[in-house]
Amino acid sequence: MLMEVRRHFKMLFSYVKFNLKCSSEYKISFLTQIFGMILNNGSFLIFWWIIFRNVNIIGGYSFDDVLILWGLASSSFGLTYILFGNVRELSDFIISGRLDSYILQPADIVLNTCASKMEVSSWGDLIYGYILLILAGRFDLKGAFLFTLFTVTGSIIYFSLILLLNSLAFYLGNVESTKRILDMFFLAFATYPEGIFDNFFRFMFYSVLPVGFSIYLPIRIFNNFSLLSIILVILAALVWLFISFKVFYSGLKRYESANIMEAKI
Amino acid sequence: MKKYLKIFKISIKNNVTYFKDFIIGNVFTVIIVIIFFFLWKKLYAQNIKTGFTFQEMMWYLIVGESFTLNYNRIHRNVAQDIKSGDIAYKINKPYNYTLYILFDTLGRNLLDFYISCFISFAVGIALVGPIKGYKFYYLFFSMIIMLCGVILNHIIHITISLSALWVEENMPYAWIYGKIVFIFGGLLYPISLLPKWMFKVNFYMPWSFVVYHISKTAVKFNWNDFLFTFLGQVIYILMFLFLMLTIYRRGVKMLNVNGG
Repeated sequence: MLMEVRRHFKMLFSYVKFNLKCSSEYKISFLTQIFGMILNNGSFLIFWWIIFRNVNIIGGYSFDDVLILWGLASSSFGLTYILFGNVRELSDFIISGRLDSYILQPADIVLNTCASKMEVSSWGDLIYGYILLILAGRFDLKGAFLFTLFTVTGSIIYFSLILLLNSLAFYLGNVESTKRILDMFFLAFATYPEGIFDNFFRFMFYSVLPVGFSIYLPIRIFNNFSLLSIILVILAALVWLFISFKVFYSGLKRYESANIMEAKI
Repeated sequence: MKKYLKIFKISIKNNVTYFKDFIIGNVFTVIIVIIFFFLWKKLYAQNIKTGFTFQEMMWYLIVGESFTLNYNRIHRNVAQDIKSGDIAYKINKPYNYTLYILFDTLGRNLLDFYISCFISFAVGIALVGPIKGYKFYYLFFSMIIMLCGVILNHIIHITISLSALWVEENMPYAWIYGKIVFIFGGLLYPISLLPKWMFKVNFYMPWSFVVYHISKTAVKFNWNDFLFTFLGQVIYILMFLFLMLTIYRRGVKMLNVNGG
């Protein structure tokens, strides 16, 4: 079991190294995409700055809390698409029967398929998260550790959600609209303070749409450290990961190949 | 003019192909409006001073959201035409290439715009109800400036997209303009919330005539604001039309067609 995990970590590392080499071949485009994304995210910061010029607290969040909120959302999103750039397209692989070449390889199908692509601009998201951590004045040993931990757990939860939505293609066929809408829901809510929403939405955030465990609870831990809450976040990430893999592998039994000749080197 | 109207009609028909994408876009608009509803409710509970009541603020944001159309296709299409060499087939046709792009994208986007308005209107009624004392004929005059805003924004986007005649990749410039509208045009909040000097500068800029003045006038209708917005839009439309045609004439002379 441990050997398996080690082998897959090694595979992920090799994919990142390879994808990074491929992307950085066109240096200008590579850097433009990364800095473009940082600037793009930065424009939302101006919005919050303008709002916080007029009030001090929004839904229990100070301006620094909003910085951490944006930072976590951005870094988790970034890390997901740096490591698993193909996860959003997984349903296309399923519908068009292009999973064959991945199924035949001696590696986990989900990790192998999803990691074979990297979204270059996601490096901008990841870096931006840490820039915000510095701007919020929380870049000390504890802050950096918690931020990194929650970036990883947030990324696992977000990855699991997208994997789950894409795996629905095994059962429902074309799920393009459903997955895009739920993906948008997740990202839109993840960048606004939890305290502004009513109880119905808060219930959703800790059940169907796991923004609560990936972003909101970690922010509370940032302000009021609690080991129990950290364990809860880690557990939630593992449960979501388990469910999404289960749904994928159950669905895989229904997979039909399209007999497309494809070489994967 | 007849040929441009034909292009416009064909584009409306073509647009039905992208209907699914359009519906998804509108779902996103609804989500954003709901989030804004919760956000501004909290802000108003803290007595934020905006010059709008909560209800007016929601309608301001809803009107602004209905302007969020797919402008990227302008830049993508122009850049694609130039990179692929397809432009060679379009500039020797008996129409002006820039006007062709204008009517083509207007045809695609106007239908989206009207459906977007309808959906936004329904969401607004459901969330905050109609504004007290709002007269029905305000809607008619508001639609005029909304339409002018959409046309002005299209012309500005085409003007910017023509940078592809020199540099091929026009996306960065389009992106910068998009963000300016976002922050200084009043899409996310009324620009009256900006620091005073920033507000004064942006008040007269073209980007505030594609969102801020329109949304504000539509919500707090009065004839002075209407005339100011309408005149400002007409002046900017003429200015950017002239700029667009001039840039095109100069740019097309130095165009090296790739392949084709």
